[in-house]
Amino acid sequence: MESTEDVATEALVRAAREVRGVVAAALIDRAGAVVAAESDDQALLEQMQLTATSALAAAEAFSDLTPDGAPPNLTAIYDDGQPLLFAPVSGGDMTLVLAVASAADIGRARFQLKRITGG
Amino acid sequence: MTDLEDILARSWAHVEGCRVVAVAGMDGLLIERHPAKDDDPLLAGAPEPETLAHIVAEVTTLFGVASGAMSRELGSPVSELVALGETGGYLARRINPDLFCLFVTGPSADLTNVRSEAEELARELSGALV
Repeated sequence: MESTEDVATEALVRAAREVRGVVAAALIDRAGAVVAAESDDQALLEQMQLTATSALAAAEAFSDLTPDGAPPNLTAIYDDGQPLLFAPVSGGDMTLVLAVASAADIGRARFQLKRITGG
Repeated sequence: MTDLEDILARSWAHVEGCRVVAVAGMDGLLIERHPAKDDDPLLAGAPEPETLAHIVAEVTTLFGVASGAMSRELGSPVSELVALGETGGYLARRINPDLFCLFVTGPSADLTNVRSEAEELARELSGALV
């Protein structure tokens, strides 16, 4: 039987995946393990998992520069590949990672991400 | 279709001569537009998606510029920007400190109607996007 927390994390990932332009969503813990994921592209999920740990470290480093010391959301744009958005959740213990189809989808995804995570 | 798309579609239909209506963040990024699909025939005459992204970024800059002496002199933040040319124009209205809506219109659009609809849209979105 799934715990309440499992259901909540799956609902979070599903809500993120349903945003138009989002092609994959994953919740990744500090150790880099996938807690929940929604994607049809396994290679993309692996790339998201690989980069999440680095993104989390970068977010912690940048948190010194934010007014409230909270880890910021980060966006990675690649010359070749889908843009990735990283949002700390659960007080920074986990990272919600979104892959969007193109740079034109970043604004929508960032906006909806704030609404979904309450950030 | 999300609520946001519904709201933009309704507003677009109320403004004759409207090429595209959009909502964007003060971070300079486009959030949503109507018509939304790149191949929608209704988009004929509207800026290309890349161009619209640049316009949104420029409007964000203009709001930033207008937040200085212009706003201080008014005693309140500039909430609306209008830019007109011979072939149409742009009207942007702040929704809240983080968001604004933007109408891109052709030459036949009635500015009074656009302003009125922008005010209504901003009010509706400020309630919907809490």
